[in-house]
Amino acid sequence: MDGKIDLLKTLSDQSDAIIKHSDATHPEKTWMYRVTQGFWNEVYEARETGRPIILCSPNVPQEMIYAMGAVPLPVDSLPTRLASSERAFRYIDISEQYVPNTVCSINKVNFGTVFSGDLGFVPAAMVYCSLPCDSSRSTYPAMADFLARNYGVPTFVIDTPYRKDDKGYKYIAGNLKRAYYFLLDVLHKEHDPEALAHFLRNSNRTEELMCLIGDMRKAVPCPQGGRLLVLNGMVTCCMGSQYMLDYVEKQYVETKKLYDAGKSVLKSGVERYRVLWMQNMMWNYGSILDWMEREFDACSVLNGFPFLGREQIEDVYDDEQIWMGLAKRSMGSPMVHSVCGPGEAYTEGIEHIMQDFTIDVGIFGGHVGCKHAWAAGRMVTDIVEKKYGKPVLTYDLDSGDIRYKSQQEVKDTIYDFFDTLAARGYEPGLERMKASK
Amino acid sequence: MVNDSNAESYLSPFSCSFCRGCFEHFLDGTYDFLNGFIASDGCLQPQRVYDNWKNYLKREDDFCYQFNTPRVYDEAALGMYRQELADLKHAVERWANYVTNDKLIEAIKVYNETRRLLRELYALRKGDAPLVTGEECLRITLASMSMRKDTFNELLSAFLEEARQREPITDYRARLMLIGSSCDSPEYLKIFEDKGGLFVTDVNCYGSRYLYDDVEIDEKDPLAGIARSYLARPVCGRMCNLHHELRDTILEMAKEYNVEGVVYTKMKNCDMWGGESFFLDDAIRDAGLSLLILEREEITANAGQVGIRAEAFVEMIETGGAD
Ligand code: SF4
Ligand code: SF4
Repeated sequence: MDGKIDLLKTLSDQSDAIIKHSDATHPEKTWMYRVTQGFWNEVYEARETGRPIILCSPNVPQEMIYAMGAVPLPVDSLPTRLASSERAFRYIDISEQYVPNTVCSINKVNFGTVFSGDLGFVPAAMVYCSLPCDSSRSTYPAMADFLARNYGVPTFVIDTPYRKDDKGYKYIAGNLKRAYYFLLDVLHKEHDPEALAHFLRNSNRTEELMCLIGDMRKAVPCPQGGRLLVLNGMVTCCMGSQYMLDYVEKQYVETKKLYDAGKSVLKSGVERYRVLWMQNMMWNYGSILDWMEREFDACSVLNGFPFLGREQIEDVYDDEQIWMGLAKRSMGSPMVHSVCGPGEAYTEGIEHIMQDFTIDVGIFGGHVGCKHAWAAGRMVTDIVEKKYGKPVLTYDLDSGDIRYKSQQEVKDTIYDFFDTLAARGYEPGLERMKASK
Repeated sequence: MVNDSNAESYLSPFSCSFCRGCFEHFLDGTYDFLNGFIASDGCLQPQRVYDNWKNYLKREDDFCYQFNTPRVYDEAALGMYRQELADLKHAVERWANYVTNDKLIEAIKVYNETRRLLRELYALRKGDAPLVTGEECLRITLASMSMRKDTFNELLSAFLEEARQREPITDYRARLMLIGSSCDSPEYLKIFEDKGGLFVTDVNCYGSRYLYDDVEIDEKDPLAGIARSYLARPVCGRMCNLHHELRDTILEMAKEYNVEGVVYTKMKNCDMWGGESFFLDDAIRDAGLSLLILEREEITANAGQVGIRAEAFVEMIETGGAD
């Protein structure tokens, strides 16, 4: 295929360059990018050294893959990484030869990267879940079929139930366990309880810290900003890895410092607006979050598909606890827990955020491909606007394709919104400060 | 035809217009006569119709139930599906009346009779001189969905008898098959049939995918029989591991009904059928069939344009032109 590139090398080199640049300009922020570096370096090195790579969806527990000495590559890590770049166009264009342009750009990029051959390796296996959405269901089976037919890649689909209750958890727990034994078989490995326990301990600690960080985000002022909400998307790509744990530990320490001092993450120290992103984060325009902090003292406190830390697995050697725990985590992944089941999961999630996180404004920056989230948009905006009386900005964008709307267009929309709020004298942050004085 | 602008304000313009049309009927009171809503997660968009209905329109004593359908076909999924059926049965029993095994078996028999009669209806379209049009057939299958099946069976039996006495249709120019996103619009089929095409079969939720193959009667455990029959049935791309079965069903039906051209409609924003092209397009062409892919909206505002495409397609088939 024309325009072929070595994508893994490019992403690995790029993440090294980001570290270098950050060290030179904002060394205090370099830790934020180490997880991306760790991840892409590891996948690239695996390819170069012949360590098996398992292609998967992000809600497949990565611990079980690490425990076999293999490396997981959740395909969704590619579109979010490429979202802000023109490189995504090639993959979107390839996939649009097979799927309609209305399919979510995450899945279009997934599909395109696999089809293009730009990954430069044949995965040892592909394991994917039947959720989160119709877009993923229109592309993952096609990727699996393509790999199976052309390269003989063994594939396994983990059926993920719509229901989010004990019956559903038991069902997916059984399917996850079967996927685990499928992979052992493919890789000619034996179950190694010690290895699995090691990665589960890592992920337990990661989840625990994410819960604590999530709790601290409730504080007024908020001790963390929007950037980390975007970067935390990586958590479901390499759960159990040491570099992920290091990243979350550092995030916890940094958050706790500000939290203990009662300080805002904003440079001005004054938190005028606490923002809830009611859908996914904007993967392509993360810098808009920094701009909002500078321009309007608006802190992005949380998003509607948040990663807040999930289930602990108390006994990492107990078969039932392991699979039930991983099942609950899989069902508690961002996107899966919020919009891929009954609408109540989304509305109740937004309710909880409104109750616990002191939100001043909602932004439904709706990713166009996420059609089922849009179709629940009115229910969640009504909660924020009508029940809690908070203003909401709604606009559409394609978080994975910068051709849909430029950064400037999105900025202009947000600018107008905050401008209107100020003109109307809506100053919740200043009022809070007055009240506390 | 439904103006779905009210529904759009709930479901957004990024939703499938078929679902918007359904929700519009809830909003405008068309469905006020209903006493409940059972949702099944075929794809995610109708789920949001249910969620919005529950959130905004549900009356206090309306029955509402979320049914969960597995997305793979295997032993574990069959067990889960059977359990789902049992849960639904219990919910209905709590709300209405007991559903005994005898009653279930009786109902399966009545439904199987509907299936048999619908297959007979389809059989009238197999030969060189079919007795019913695609438009007419779709009207009949649509009726079957909103009637008591015993009444429908009587009416369809009478229709079949009458249809067999009809003048056969011989003036058509191309034998067509409809596949793709939900199509409950006989008028859409008529556009093609007015141009000389004749739909002789389909793989459409409102046609052959509704009731076609018999449900197995398991005397000991009727729910298990229902589970096996329904879950294995290739309906659309929602089943992650039945894509090849869906493709084979389409090709087999095309062969059985001597189809020349396949009209594959994709509802805008329909990922399920939109993405199925990967599995279908080449296979359909490789089978020597002509293929026309059209984007469709529930409201056919562009009948003229569709007509032009239809005419060209029919002509291409008739003249043996390249696809
Ligand atoms: S953003 Fe929405 S449509 Fe895209 S992968 Fe996630 S759930 Fe699916
Ligand atoms: S399968 Fe397609 S046409 Fe049918 S309801 Fe879903 S999105 Fe709409």
